[in-house]
Amino acid sequence: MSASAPEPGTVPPILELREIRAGYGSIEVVHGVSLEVPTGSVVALLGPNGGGKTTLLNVCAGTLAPSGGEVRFEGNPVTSISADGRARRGICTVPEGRGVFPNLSVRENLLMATQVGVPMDWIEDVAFTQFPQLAVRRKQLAGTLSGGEQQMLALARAFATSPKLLLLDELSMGLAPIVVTQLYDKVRELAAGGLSILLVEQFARTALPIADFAAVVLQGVIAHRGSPAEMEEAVSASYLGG
Amino acid sequence: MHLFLTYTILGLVTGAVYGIAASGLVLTYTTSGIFNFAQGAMAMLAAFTYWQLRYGWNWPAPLALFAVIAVLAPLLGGVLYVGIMRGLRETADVTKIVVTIGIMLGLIALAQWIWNPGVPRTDNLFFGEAAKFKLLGVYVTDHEAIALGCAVLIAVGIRLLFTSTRTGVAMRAVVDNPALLQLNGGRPGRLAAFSWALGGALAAVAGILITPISGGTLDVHVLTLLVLDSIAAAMFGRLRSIWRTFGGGLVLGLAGTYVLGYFPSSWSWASDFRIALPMIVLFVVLIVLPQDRLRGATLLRTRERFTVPTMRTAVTWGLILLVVVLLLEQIMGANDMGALTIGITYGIIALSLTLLTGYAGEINLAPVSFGAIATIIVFHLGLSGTGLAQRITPWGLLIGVAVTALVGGLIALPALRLRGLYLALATLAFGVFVSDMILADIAPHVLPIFHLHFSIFDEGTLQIPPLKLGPVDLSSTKTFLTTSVCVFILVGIGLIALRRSNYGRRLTAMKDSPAAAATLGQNVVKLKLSVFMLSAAIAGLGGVLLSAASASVTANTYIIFISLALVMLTVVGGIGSVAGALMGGILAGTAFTALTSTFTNLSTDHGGGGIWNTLANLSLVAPALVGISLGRNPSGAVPQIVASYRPLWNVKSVLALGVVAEAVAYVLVLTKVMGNWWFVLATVAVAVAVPALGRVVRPDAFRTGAVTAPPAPGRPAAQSVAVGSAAAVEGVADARS
Repeated sequence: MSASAPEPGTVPPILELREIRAGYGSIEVVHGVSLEVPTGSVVALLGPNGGGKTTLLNVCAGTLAPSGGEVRFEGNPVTSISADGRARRGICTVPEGRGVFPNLSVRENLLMATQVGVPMDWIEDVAFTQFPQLAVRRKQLAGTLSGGEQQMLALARAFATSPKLLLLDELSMGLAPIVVTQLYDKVRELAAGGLSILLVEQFARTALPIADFAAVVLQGVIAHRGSPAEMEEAVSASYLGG
Repeated sequence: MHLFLTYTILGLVTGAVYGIAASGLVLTYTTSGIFNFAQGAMAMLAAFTYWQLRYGWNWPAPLALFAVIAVLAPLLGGVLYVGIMRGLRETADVTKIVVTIGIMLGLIALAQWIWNPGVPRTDNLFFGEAAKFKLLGVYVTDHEAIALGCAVLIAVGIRLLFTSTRTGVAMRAVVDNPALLQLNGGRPGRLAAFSWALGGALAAVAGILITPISGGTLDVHVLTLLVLDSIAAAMFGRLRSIWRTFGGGLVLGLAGTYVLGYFPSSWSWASDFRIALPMIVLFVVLIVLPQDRLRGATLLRTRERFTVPTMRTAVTWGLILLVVVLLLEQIMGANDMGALTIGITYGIIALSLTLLTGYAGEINLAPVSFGAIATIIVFHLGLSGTGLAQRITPWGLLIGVAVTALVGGLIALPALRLRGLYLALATLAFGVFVSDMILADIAPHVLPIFHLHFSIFDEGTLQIPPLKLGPVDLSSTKTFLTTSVCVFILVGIGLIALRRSNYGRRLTAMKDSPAAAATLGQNVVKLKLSVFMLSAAIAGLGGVLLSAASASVTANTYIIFISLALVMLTVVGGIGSVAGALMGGILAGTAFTALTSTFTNLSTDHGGGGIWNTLANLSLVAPALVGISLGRNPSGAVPQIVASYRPLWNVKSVLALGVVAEAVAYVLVLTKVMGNWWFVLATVAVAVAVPALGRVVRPDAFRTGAVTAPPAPGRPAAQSVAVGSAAAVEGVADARS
């Protein structure tokens, strides 16, 4: 299963989902999914709209309580821990859409990231070095930034708080292709630094190049899993309904 | 110039206190999304507690201040949030409003319980009257200087909190996106609790400062309303900006003192106008200032669920109600019948809320004030005969109701773009305005040009004679009761028919999503206006009957707190159903009053005090407790009761047993074997025992969906489909904007 995990058996997976069932109200969206994110690797969740990718990611982040199954982080169960508790343990989530507070300035947005216990000086230092564009706009309201800049701000948090696990939801949503490429270059940088990442993406071709391991989520179950190369074919088949 | 300065300083001081109270409102609203109507009552309670510590127990002032402002008031705020407000997530605006109103009424009742209103209490200025200094030739007391200083400190402090501290920035972040804040490791619940604690402290500061300035006499209602006035200041800041909130406070304070100082003394209404000014300002500000999008306005799912009965069910229950009341009339004394009539007439007023809030999703916090308008019209234009033979004519009633509908339209017209909380505040402003200016207008006027002598509310008391509808003369208590029940049933069935009609479906569509309703080609303005007028007419009808049932009415009959209690209890009963209106009306008009008077009488019989006195006070607090419990069951009590009885249809034997037991109890009362109170107790016992027995006999029948009201089997609610699609359309509309 964990095909591309480095040193299997010695380090526990950073994140482990066991038989997760989840949904909204009485409608179950995810029907018993098991998945591992090996420490230091990038796992991509692919698949068409409505498959349950984001639901799964929300279960990992703690914003949605699963109706069944268990979430383990660094080998310990975290299913009953709230989203803020998980954030303080080192899970950084960049949610779907724009992960910024629109009525707070850029600087104040970064200030919010200190709640996981990282000093502000450090955060500003890292964020503005990585994304010099943001330094210029530090006093501007985040809501007035362009879409790409907003995602940069959200990613800056991931850089600056040095999390143990990064959850990325649809980073490419609503952005120009060139901006998407820029952002994914940054993600690649993070991954190269050894950060474990679980990312959700509709556009397989954007995500596969940086992934060590990929899974296609179809109608609430994992339909295919394997290395990015193996996935190429499976992905095109599932998008076409094959 | 000297006078001008004096007024200016007084106005600034009052304004500063308004600002302090309003900033507490803004603080709690921004972080928790709940508008705290109880802010005024919290200020009142703090002022009383301070008095108790400072003058009752002779604590030194600094210690008393510390205990109230830094310990007790924040504790109250925090406990309110953790205990009650936290449970209000995903509830409709009206539920949130009603719960804080419940707390307000509860605190008022509590204060009257602890501090007997008959005993006068006064609060002195800090450092006494003598402590004052001269500024630009006018005297300023130390107390006034302290009030101004506090306001400046608080304004600067809150500003610094919001911009320079992580907690403060996080409080603003909660407004933007609480889920994202959690993903950043923040704790929205803790922030909200903190802001409620801070709000409590600010209320306490305002309450303690304003009491000596406004004369020093502690009065439960006056203090609560005084701080309620600060809502206008909060609206200046659009419930967001602290600076503009304080600015609004100053405008209010200055305007009030200038009116007092410079309006000619010959204008008899000037002092009323000064009292009503904050509410007039509130109304104007709501209409003129563009308001922010309300939080939660895009809420697609709320926990409230309402089902609409079929016409057959409605008529059947109407007949059952009539029969029950006819049977009760045989055993009730005149006083009891009078009390029940009051309850039923309140129920008719509550029906106006069923239509407006339950069906159309708009909020009116002053339904009884519309009743007052109708009463005044009827008193002036709709009476015939003199003395004991005086009666309300059917035409008079019709004119009264029609004028009230027009007034309702006039109120709604500027308020058409307001929704939810803002509309609720506009109606609150109207209600207080009616009490402060129209009902307080007791002096006679001379109409210019026509030289016509008239007075709106002559001498402060109006004698309202009974109604005479052709051959039906309501001067007998029994006829009055029967007629008001018939009116209730007719209006109720009419409302259900309306709800099931095309018009009713359009109302529901508008309730779920005005944007979607408009994009589907509906004239939302017309719809809103018409439903507001219709609702006002119903409230007017109920109000005239209420006034006639009370025979003699004063301004206190229609005070805003009565309206608020009625709204609250109707929501408790179930704002979406006619039965909920009946329950709300009877609770508001009959049940709690009856309990209180019974316990008070028992207490007096037993030499005062003791357990009965406690129970009497408890029954005063009870409505508030009931209102506060709403967070757990926002759909109201009636759907819950219906749900617990529905399975009994499958256990007919138990149902029959219950009916027989009740019939036996009735016969025993009729034959004077048993007293009325025993009958009430027996009825309660039967009502509790029947579902319990059914559960024992046929546990399987109760297993499915006994907790929440399920849609009637075999009758899939067509409305829910329509609602769902409307919600979907709204989603699209939101995505576009």
